[in-house]
Amino acid sequence: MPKRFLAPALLLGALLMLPLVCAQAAPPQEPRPDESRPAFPIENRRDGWGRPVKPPVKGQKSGPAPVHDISGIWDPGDGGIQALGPAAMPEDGKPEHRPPYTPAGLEKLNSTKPSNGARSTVPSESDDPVIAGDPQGIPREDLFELRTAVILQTPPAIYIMYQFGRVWRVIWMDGREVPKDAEPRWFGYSVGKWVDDNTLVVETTGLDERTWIDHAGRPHSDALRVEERFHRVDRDHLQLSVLIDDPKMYTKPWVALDKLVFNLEPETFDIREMFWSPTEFQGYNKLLGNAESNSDTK
Amino acid sequence: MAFRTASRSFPLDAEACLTVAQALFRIALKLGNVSNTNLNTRYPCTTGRWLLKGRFLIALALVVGLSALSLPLSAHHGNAAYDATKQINLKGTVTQFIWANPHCVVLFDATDEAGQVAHWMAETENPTTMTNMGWLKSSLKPGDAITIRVITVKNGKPIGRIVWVETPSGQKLPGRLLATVDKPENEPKQ
Repeated sequence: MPKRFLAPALLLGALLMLPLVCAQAAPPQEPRPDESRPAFPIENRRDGWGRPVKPPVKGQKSGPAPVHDISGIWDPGDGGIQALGPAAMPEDGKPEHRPPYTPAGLEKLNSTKPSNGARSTVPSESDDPVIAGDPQGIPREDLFELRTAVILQTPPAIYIMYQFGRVWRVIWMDGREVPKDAEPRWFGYSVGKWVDDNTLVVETTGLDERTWIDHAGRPHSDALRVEERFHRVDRDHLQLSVLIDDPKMYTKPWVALDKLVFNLEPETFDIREMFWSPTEFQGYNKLLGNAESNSDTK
Repeated sequence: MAFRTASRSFPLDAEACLTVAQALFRIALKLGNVSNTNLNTRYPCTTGRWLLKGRFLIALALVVGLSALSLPLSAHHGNAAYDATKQINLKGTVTQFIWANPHCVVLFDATDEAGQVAHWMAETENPTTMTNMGWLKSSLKPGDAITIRVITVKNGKPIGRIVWVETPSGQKLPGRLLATVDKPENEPKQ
């Protein structure tokens, strides 16, 4: 190789290697409040009561995280919408975002017709159980339309109330174990344990097979075990990570959500209603959601 | 071509990723052209002179452009029906504003140059997201004269996805958190 090409080749090679080097050298990411806020013009935000919500003061430092306390009104911004599937594993056609399906998992995946993702169809042709009116259940409550959530703590349990569908769940904190051979439930059976001052690990089993894991139609079986990790970084920020473990559908556990950041809302924040009302959805499908009105083909 | 992204965290559409890649590519090409003038006199560095040559910058542009294409792709309900590169501005009169899930819909009549009235339907986001973007249920009402910019469907029907709406009071409300091209198809050339 002529000498005059040596330096450009070396520099180009270095540039191409840079992302790999950075990825390996990067320390664990802490929440970045400025980026975790919604992408909306937040000076115009209003709560469910119609009252303006003051934007956070720039540069204001958060206080320390209280011990064993994740209570509050938490907002993940637009990062919780996850229309394509879980934030850490969207169905975007990339090989690295393909969960490790077993043959049975792949067969069940191919039987679903989601309205989003690489296999999407128009909403009126989707067999998404949530469009039909079923509850999202766990883990989909974390992995689609995760909006503002209220977390309440009592001595024996933690309750989480979700904006989307206005549903709630319970996480038992009294030392009990998840039941074996229990009757399946949409939200399963959840138990939590503090693993340090600010990190709560929640295990959920006994989940109803009719739910999807996410909005892209990823399946699960009765063997599904979901692990959620809530980590309160400081007074104003909470992180949520979600692990999917279902040996019948996936050859190994996979991370669906990796440290999604929530911001603490004021105690007086009123959460607006958000339902996928069947009648509203029918109205939408009639106008825009069917193949006749909204198809690629004439 | 100019572009803007409303969010760093909101997943971009495939079309948006293309737009970003194209814009980066063009910027790099322009830099390449400038380098051919006489940048060596502005940056006198003997050993690094090759850095300022157009070919290298084009190669760099290709790398950057291809990297941009690997950004997350996104789709929403029926998004495949839309052609994000095709946007038009319309003037019309609101006939109905449906404030409902999963997406709010503006129905309006627009008259073309031939005097033909088309009954348009344009969707946006759900009320929760729209409220966060400054909308209210009362933002539009039947009879309102609006200027609206929409991404159109590929099949040519009067159906769109709102980029923005200008209300009678002059307020400009965003409709989607997407990267958008600046020049609508029917905007007069300067």
